[in-house]
This record gives sequence, C-alpha cells and structure tokens, in this order.
Amino acid sequence: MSSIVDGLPVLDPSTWRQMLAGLTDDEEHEGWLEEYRGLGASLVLMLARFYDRAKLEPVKLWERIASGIASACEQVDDGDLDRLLTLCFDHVCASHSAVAADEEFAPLILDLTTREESWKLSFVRYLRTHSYTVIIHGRAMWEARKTERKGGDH
Amino acid sequence: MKRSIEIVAVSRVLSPLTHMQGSEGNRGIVMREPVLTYSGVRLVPCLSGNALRHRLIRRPAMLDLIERWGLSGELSVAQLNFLLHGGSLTEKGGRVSIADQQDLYRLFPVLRLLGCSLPGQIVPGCLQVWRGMLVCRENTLRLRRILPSEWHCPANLRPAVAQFQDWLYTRSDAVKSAPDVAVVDGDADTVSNLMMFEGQAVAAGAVFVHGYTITSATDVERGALYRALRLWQEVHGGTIGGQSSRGHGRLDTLYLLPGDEDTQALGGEYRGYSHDVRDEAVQFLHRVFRRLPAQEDGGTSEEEIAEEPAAHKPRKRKGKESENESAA
Repeated sequence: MSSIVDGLPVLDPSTWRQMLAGLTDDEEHEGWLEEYRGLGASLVLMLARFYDRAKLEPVKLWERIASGIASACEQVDDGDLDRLLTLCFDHVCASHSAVAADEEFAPLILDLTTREESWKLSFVRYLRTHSYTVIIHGRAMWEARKTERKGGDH
Repeated sequence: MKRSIEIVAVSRVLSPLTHMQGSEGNRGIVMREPVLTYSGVRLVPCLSGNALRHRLIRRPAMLDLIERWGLSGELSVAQLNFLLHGGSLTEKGGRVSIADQQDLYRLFPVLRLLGCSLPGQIVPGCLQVWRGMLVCRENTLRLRRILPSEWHCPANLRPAVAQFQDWLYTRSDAVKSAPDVAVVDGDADTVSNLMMFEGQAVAAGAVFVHGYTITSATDVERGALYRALRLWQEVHGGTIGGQSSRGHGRLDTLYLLPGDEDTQALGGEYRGYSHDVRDEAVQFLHRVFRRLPAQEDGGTSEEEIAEEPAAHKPRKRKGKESENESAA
C-alpha cells in the first residue's frame, strides 16, 4: 500500500542556480562560427602538411584526415586539445621531428592548446558536428596555399 | 476553502528523455515545437500537456484509488478507461445530469481537476496543465515570462540543439545468443530476429519548466493533485515519455508555489477524504456504467436486462427461426 506522507519538494534559488550552471553556454559568442571554421580549416591544413605519404596512400589524404579528427573527437570528451592534436597527428603518421621543427604551425598549436576550457570543449563539439564542412574548408585552404606557392615560384 | 493558484514545476532530466513525436525512417524523433526567435523559427523539444496530465496526475491518482479501494479485478474495461484515460462519450444523445456531475466532483476530487467523460456527457475540469518548456536559449523570453521575476534566467543558455543525444539499441537473435539450446529442426534460415533501433533523446541534465493553474479548487481537490504528483515521483518512477522500461525519461521535479500552501497536509486530507467516500464512489461507478450488484437470488436485475447490449441477449432457438432469417 502506497504511503506517501511528504509534501511537494520546493525549489529554492540555490538549486535553481545550480541547475542553470550546467545549462549556460559562454562558448557560442558572436563570431564563434567564423573562428571555429577558420581554426578547423587550419587544423585540416596542418594534418595535410604532416600526412606521411610514404606510409599512407596519398589518394586517401582527406578521408584519413576526416577519420582522424572524428576518432580523436570521440576519444576526447574533456576538451584536451593537446591529446586531440596528438591523436590526429598519430592518425596521419606525422613525424615527431617534422612537427617539432615546424615553425609555421607552432603558433596555431600553441593557440589551440592554451585556450580556456569552455572554448576547447566547444571547438571539439564543432569538429564533431561539422565533419564534412571542416574538410571542405580545410581542402580549400590547402588548394589556395598550393596556388599561392605556385604563383610565388614564377 | 476554495483557492486559485499557479504552481511552477522545474524538472531536471536524470536519464535520456524520449518523449517522441514520430519517426523519420528508423529513427525516433523527440517531440518538438516551433518557437519564433529573433533568428528565425527553431524546433525545440517540449513535453506535451497531454502526456503530463496523464503520467503525472491521472494515472498515479487513479491507480492509487484502485489500490486503496480494493478494486483490482473488480472493474470493467469501460470503468478502467474512465478512471485511467478520462472515458469517452458512448451514448448518443446522452443526457446531461447536473446531479451526476456534482456527485462525480464530490466523490472523485481528482476528476474535478482533470475533467472526464461520462458515457453521456463531458465533464470539465478546473486544472490547466502547462506544456513542458525546455530551458534553452530559444525559450529565454518565454521562461522569463513564466518564472517569478526574482528567479534569474540568463541570456546565455545553451541552444536546444546542444541538448540532444542519440541512442541505439539492439534486439538480438537466439541463433546468435543461444544456439546451443535450440532444437535442430531446420528453421535456422528463418528471418533474423536481429533488429537495431535508434532515435533522439533529450540529454540528462536538461531542465524543463512546466506547471499548473488551478481555478477555484477546494483543499481536498488541491490535495488530490499534490498526492498524485508525489505518487508519480516516489512510486511510479517519476518518468515521462517512452522506454521507461529501459531507464529513459526519469525526472527529478521541484516546485514553486505559494508559501502558505501546505501540500503535505492537503495531500493527507485528500487521502482521508477518499477513504471516507469509497463506498459511495464505487456505487456511483457501477451505476453510471450500469454494473449494478446482482440480485440476491443470483439473477440479473430488470434494469440490467433492459440495458444489456444486443450482443449479450440470449440466443434464439435454431430451426424455424433460422429458416425465416435465411428467407429474409
């Protein structure tokens, strides 16, 4: 026999604030999409730069980069971009010495890994939910870079 | 004492909530409502008032009465549909009886709140159950309108799209799970029982705001509501939506209501009142649904015979009557 004796539990302001704490989003500020798009494309560009064409098939470049980013996003649920980048580099068989010696992408890596936690969490979520467009923008950046370098060679 | 009040309920989702509106292909889609925002129309998860009325109030309240009144195994399907699902109009040109309506309200306070349908008339209720509104960016303005002004609702809430999750379950096949105990009778090539099913859910940690508006209800009627809500939370798992058997849809609900509303005392008052009116309420049920007690000699009362549906009347003798029916 049911024996309910208590009244309805009352919501107090403190509990309400606690509920809201998990529901606020400082990550998506104005211009966030543009920033994530640019950085996501730069990430793809960087992985294409360090892709080991001796060990991996060149024709599967973009597929490999996409699967690397997707796999890394699934494993990194705490915004640890250091780990995410490591997983991505590992997936494209990047040379440790090449990555360490590269001066072009070092500022990007430092920028990504020193952001605040909420930003990093949001960036990982962006990469996970925009897998196709990240590759498209990254490839566009890659092609633009190739064209620029060809033009510089004349 | 009669009183009109508003109660705000705030429910935190404790497990994936699958209150569904349908499917797209094999994928279940959560119930959503269009919300007009500054950036256009957005589809936002919601909880229907229809589901909230049934799961949180009518079902636990009526199961409580059936249990406490000892009616298990005593009620017809029509009576159960009336109690558990509000009933339906089954009599054409039904008569409206104010006396029946007043008896109903007096004997079933929860039905004074929810309303119902007797076989011959619709009986209105005095309780409005609000839809459940997701606490998200798209609903910020609506939430500020509902919540007391001193309860801050920030502008930077997560968007609704960030509060979804996916789920995927499998129903396996005995050929894979128990081949060693199967009879070898040559049916191994039948259609596989394996099925994967998937869908959306609102993720744990999301919060819905909903509530109730009660118009001019007595202490006992309000007590019926409070007891039902407690029963839903404490006895019936506090769930909403589908797949509660798989752990979905658990809510933890807290309330904002006038400080002088003693929900514990009123719930107890209702419990005692419903005990006192038990016999009369059961008699009302049987009268309205034409299930009067049998006569002392075991026969059927004249009124029962007169009211029996044609399908239950004694069969005619075969033979001459059958020939006449054939000729017709």
